[in-house]
Amino acid sequence: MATGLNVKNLKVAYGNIEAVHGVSFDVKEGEIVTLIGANGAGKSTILRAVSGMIPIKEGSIEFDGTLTDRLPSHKVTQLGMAHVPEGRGIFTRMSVLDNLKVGAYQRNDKQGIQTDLEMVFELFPRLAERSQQLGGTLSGGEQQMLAVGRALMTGASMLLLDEPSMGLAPVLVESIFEVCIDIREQGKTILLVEQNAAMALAIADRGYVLETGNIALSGQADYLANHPEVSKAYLGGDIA
Amino acid sequence: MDLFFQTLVNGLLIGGIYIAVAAGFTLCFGVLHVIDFAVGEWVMLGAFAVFWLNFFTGVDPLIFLPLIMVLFMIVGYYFQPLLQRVITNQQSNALLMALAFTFGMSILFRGSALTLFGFNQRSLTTFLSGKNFEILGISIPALRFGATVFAVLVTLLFMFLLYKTKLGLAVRAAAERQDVAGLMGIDSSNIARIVYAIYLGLTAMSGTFLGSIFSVHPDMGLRYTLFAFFVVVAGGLGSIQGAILAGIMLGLINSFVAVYVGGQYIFLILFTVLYLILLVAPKGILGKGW
Repeated sequence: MATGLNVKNLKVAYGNIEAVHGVSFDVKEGEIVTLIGANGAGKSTILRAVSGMIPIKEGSIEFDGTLTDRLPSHKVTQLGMAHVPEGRGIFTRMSVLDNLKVGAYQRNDKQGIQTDLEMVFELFPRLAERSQQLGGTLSGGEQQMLAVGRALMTGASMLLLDEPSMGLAPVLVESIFEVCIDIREQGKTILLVEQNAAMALAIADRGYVLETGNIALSGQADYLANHPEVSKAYLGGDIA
Repeated sequence: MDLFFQTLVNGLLIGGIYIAVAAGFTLCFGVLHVIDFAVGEWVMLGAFAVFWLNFFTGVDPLIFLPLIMVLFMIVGYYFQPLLQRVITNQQSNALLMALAFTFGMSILFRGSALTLFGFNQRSLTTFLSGKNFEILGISIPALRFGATVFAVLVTLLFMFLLYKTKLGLAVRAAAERQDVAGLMGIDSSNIARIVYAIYLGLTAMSGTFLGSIFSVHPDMGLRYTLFAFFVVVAGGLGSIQGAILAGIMLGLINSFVAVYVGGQYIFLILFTVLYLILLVAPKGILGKGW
């Protein structure tokens, strides 16, 4: 059985406007793979299509040997893929603990849920301190922690992270990326979408560069980080 | 002073029934984003269902309560996908479509009831009808008392379901962010069906009570649709606690206006009160929030 994520010739359209024009990529089990690119390149759209939030126009998406491209998002989640959406999507009117419990909604293994809850609290001690607070009262950084923690509570083997660094102070950005490394060490796979290309490439194994709905470049993370085109367009340097 | 307390008690007793309608209606709005114009007609259908059951079997209407609730929950569970289709199937203005559709439903239900059952007012006689008991010199009609106690208990059960169970957790999640709820493995479309089913169950149950306390006729619904709007807007759109408060308020206003001003002024006064509430608190009594 093929493991990880395998996307072939993915096309996604909003109404008549095609936003993603036939993109192919794969993420192997245990890898951190990043999609980088400017605003509007189609990064979030790809994640949304992969997790079943929006329908695809063409192509195929295979996750751990199952074709998922026609499945609704709750079915995809049940297969072990957790999407941390852009803007975090915290349930603002629920307590932090309830947010985490919603993450575990589709699981029935009480023991496993408890273990994962302890793991999340260990990863983010702040969430343990604030477990009774309403989600909406958390700071941006804490909300991001909650969103990632909630995704971990689904028991997923693969995480899709959409701009986890967005709107966060530099110190927090660093700690979020450190968490990504911790999560990978637990044997989980990560597909990371980022505008902060330098950070993303620093922790990723491989990367894909998206430009207006197409993959412009792909390769090992250090290869991309040192690629003149990438460093010019996304890393802010013109070292070349 | 006796009259005052009597009116107060009557208001609280009828408010208890409105609470059940309000809680369901608000949840329906919160999760489905549908303002159901036909809410009053579901009350009417609930009342007629129990009327005919009673008519053909002779068994006391109140005995049928559980059956009516289950029956309408089943109707709601299978009816909701139709409603869902109308409001999401490539429609650009879902909220407006929902209004138009449920408004059409209400006309259809009312018209059908008129054609089938005629204009007659029918009364439902239960084993509690016409009985009173006295507490501290205030006479309490047994039927209203029983109805309110039952409605409040059912509403409490409903709140327990919403706040203390896994299903309730999923419902609250879907109410706030349907898309994110999906990412948590929650089947939002099924949650919407369950919510609509609960709403219809609560509404039809209230119909049984309201039909027994007042009377059963095809036109009885409109009044309750307007009441439901008052409760949801005054309470704060989507706030269940607010709707419950507004439901009690509605009962009190009804009762006091009927005694001290005159029943014909009820809507004038009700909507003046709503206007004033919105002037002071534009988001309603409790704003939005569960």
